[in-house]
Order: sequence, then C-alpha cells, then structure tokens
Amino acid sequence: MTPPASAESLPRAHLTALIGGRRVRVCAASKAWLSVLSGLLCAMYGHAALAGEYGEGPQQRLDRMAKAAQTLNYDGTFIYRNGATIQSMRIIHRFNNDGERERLVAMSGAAREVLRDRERVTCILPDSQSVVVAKSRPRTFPHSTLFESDGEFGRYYALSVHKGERIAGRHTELVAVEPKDSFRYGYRLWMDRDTGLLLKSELIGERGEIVEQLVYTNIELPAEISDELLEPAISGAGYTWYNDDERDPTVASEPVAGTQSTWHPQWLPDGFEMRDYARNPILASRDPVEHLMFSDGLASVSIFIERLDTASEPLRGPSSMGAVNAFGSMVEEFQVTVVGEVPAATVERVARSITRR
Amino acid sequence: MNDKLKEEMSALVDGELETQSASETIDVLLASDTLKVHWSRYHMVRDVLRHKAYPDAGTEVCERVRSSLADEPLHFADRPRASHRWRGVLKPISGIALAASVATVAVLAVRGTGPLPGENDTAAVPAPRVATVARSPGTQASPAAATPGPRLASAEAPAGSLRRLQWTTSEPAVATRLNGYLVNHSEYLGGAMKGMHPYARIVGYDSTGQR
Repeated sequence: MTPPASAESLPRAHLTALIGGRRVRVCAASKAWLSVLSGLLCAMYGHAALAGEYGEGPQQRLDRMAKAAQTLNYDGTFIYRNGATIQSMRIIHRFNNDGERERLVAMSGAAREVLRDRERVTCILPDSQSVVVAKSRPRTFPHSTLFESDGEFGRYYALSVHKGERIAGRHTELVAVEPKDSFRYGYRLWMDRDTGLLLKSELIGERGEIVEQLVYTNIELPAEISDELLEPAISGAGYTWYNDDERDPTVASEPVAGTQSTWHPQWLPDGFEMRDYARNPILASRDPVEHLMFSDGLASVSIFIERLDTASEPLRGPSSMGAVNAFGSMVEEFQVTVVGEVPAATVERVARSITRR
Repeated sequence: MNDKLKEEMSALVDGELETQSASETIDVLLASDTLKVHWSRYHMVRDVLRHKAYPDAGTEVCERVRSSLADEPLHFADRPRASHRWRGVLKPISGIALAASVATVAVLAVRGTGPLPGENDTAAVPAPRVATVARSPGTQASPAAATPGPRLASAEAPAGSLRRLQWTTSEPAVATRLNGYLVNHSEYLGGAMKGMHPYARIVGYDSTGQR
C-alpha cells in the first residue's frame, strides 16, 4: 500500500487542498479558480456576519424594529405612497416615563393630523371639518415570541437579510420577508443599522408590485421632544367632534379577554391567531361594533360585526383602498366586514367563512 | 433642477404624483440636492406659517411672509393650464384666498422661487385647485380662516386623480363606515406594523367626493 504523498513530496506546481476531508491536489492553473472560490466564501461569510451582527437573525431584527418604533424619540419626514397616491408626512414620536405620544401630520394635501397618547387617538380631519376621538390601545410587544428564531413565523415567511441602501443619511440593513403562500403580502424593510428604526418599507403584492411604500427623507433622534411639538396645529374649534368615549359611556371599550363573540371565521390563513376581541363604539355606527382581530405577526385582518338598520346602506362584496382590502356581507340583519392589509382574495375567503355559533 | 423634476416635485407636494414607476421617481427626487433645497424650503415656509418649527418667529414673521406672498404676482393665473373661464374672477378674490389658506400660500411660496410668469412651467400649478379656490371666496374670507381652512384644505386634494386613496365604493356612507373600521383596525395592529405608521392611511385618505 502506497502511503499518501506528503505535501512536501508534491511538485511545487501543485497545491494541496482539503475538500470534504479529502486531500486534493490542485494544479497551478486552478489557482485562479481558487481565488474565485475564496472570494465566494468571503462573500458568504460576509453575509453570515451581517446576519449575525448584534447577535441577531432576521426575526430578532423584526422584533428590534417593532421595539424601536415604540421606545425611541424621533422626528422625521417621510414620503408615503399607497396605490397611486403619494403624500409627504411628518411623524413626531416621544417615549418617556409617561408612555408614548406621537403626532402624524400631513405635509401636503388636506392638513390632517392623527395624535396618539396612551389614552386616546385623535384624528383631526379639516377637509370634513371633523375630529374623531377613539380610545387607544396599550402598545405591548405581543409578537416577541413569534419572531424568535425557533418560532413558527418561518413557516409562513422566508426571511433574508441584505445590505441596505443609505436612507435619510443613515446606513440600513434590508430584511426581505417573502410569503410562502398567496394569502399575505411580502415586505421589504430597511432598518437603521444603529437603532433598528424602520426607515423604508414596501408591501409587495401578489404580482410583485409595490402596493404601499414609506421612505424617510430625513429623521432626527432627539434626546427630548417638547410638548409643543406634539400639540395639534389645528384646534378643531367649530368642527364636529365624534368622541367614542362620550357617545356611549356605558359600553365597555376595554377588550374582553378571549372571545365572547358568537361569530367566528371557519377559515384563516395558516399562522393567523386571534390577538384581540372588543366591542367598541365606532364612528358612523349606531350600535357598538364587535371587533375580532387576527394576525400572523405581520399581516392582520379585522372582522367587524354590527347590526344595520334597514335605512343603512350595507357593503356587499369587495372594496379596497390601496394596500387595504375589505369584503362585506349581510348575515341576517348584521353587516359582517373583513378589513386587512392582505390580498383581496384573503379578506373575501375569510368573510365567506364567517358563521354564527 | 430640470423641468421634469420640477413637475414631479410639484406633483409630490400636491399629492398628485401618479406614475407606474413611482418608486424610481422617489429615488430620483431623493437623490436631487436641488430638490432637497426646495423641499426644505417648502416645509420651512409651511411650518413658519403654522408657528411650529420656529415658534420664536412669532406673528411678525408670519405676517411678513403672508404680506410678501400677497404682493406676489399671481403666476398661476396666467399659466396656460389654468382654466380660461376662471381668469376673470381669479385675481379679485385671490388675495383673500391666499391670506386665508396656509397650505396654498406655502405652495405658492415655493412656486415664487421658481420660474417667472411666461416661463414654460405649465404643470407647476394644477388647474383644478385654481378653479376650486375661486369657487368658495365667502368661506375663505372669514376671520377664522387664519388657520388652515377646511374648505381650502379640501381644495388641495388632487381633484384630477384617477386613482385616489379612497375606498372603492360609490356609497359615501359605506366609505365612512369603512374609515371607522380602519381607525380601529390600525389601533389594534401589532408591533412590527407600528413602524409602518398605519395611521398614514387615515392622514393620506382622499375624501374628495366622499363627504
């Protein structure tokens, strides 16, 4: 048995490489290929290093992004595109011992504002001379488990991390979220490399089209944000106020633990679980509306059920507004409507499966 | 900044940029230093008029801006795309309309730094807004109109848009109900979606024709 040739015994024109545990002789002519191979390995390592930076995978990045949006102070202007409409908006967000406060202002078109604190959401709509006040929901991090690497999120979406472009003067990483079925949108999320804050997002439709887009043109992260910046520019004096709290104080607007609804969908996309249930007074609805909320962690659908009098015009069939789709049907005297940022076929299928126990 | 960029910026600040390649357009606009200057100027003027970004500026500065704008020639009135039938009534009421409308004044302020009358900048001011402003002088002349006027804010909406950000339904009552649902849906959205500012759909909603 001839012993294996030692490296020293090999001609100088050859190199020795270990591939799959076997020693392989490589001639000098293949050195160029080795260079290419090493380049590829470096690129792969670089990608792995990117994914491993901060000790995070893509799911942890999503979690970090969600927390950053809620726990940082920021003041920025972004361009928002939904369908064919493009608008410029300013967001001012503060987080301190008093909790979250934020103000979203239209910088073009109608001078609308949405103000949010831990008590209420106030929508100031000058074009309809109205102010809509609704009770706010506590913001928690309900999806932190879902985004864990061994969670089920990966069953419904393929995740990948890429080097992102420079946005609003800040370096980003791109997390691409591709659905594994046609019941939800895809997402491309550019996150600030330092803070995790979302600086650009795209919702991708079934045909690969961008159905909703948000991109910051500038953003600041001040240590403190004054109360004045969070005050509305419009007083709302002379406007019609729709205050949900005042309209019917006897109605409990706190969500009830678990579902007490007699309504439920027979079908939901895999991974959708009930996140909330409540009976709320809602603008333009005479009676409190049942609201069932389902989500897979990113995509969400809401089911609204309200009794409709004969004079009210129901929604029968589909309606849409950019990335948001809705589908309505009448079951006896109840209007059942499914609303969500998911494809039209999804809300329709959910709506058609709803039954009453 | 070339004419195409000007046109796109005008459409952008007016919420009228309708194009299939909107993403590419945004990238181009963001990459333009000149545009950024105009962009900043637009927002600065708007914020000053609303006493927000520069609260120390006070009323005096605001009034100076307003009065200087009131002295501006009405560039848009002579532009080819302005509706001919409104030309006669536009100038007499436009001073009142301008003083009353922060939003419109802000747009004009940017335009005032642009080309002079007669230059080929036909897309800079959409004709529908001019016509709508001219239709409601009584409302805009009210003293309360020192803040952004609701009627004028509505007039800023892209009347010519083919695909507005609004519910695809012919029934205003249904659209109103869906908006109520949308506010609640947005409030219940989970953590990751919060970064995408779901209320942008409310702020960006085009209520034109759905009152």
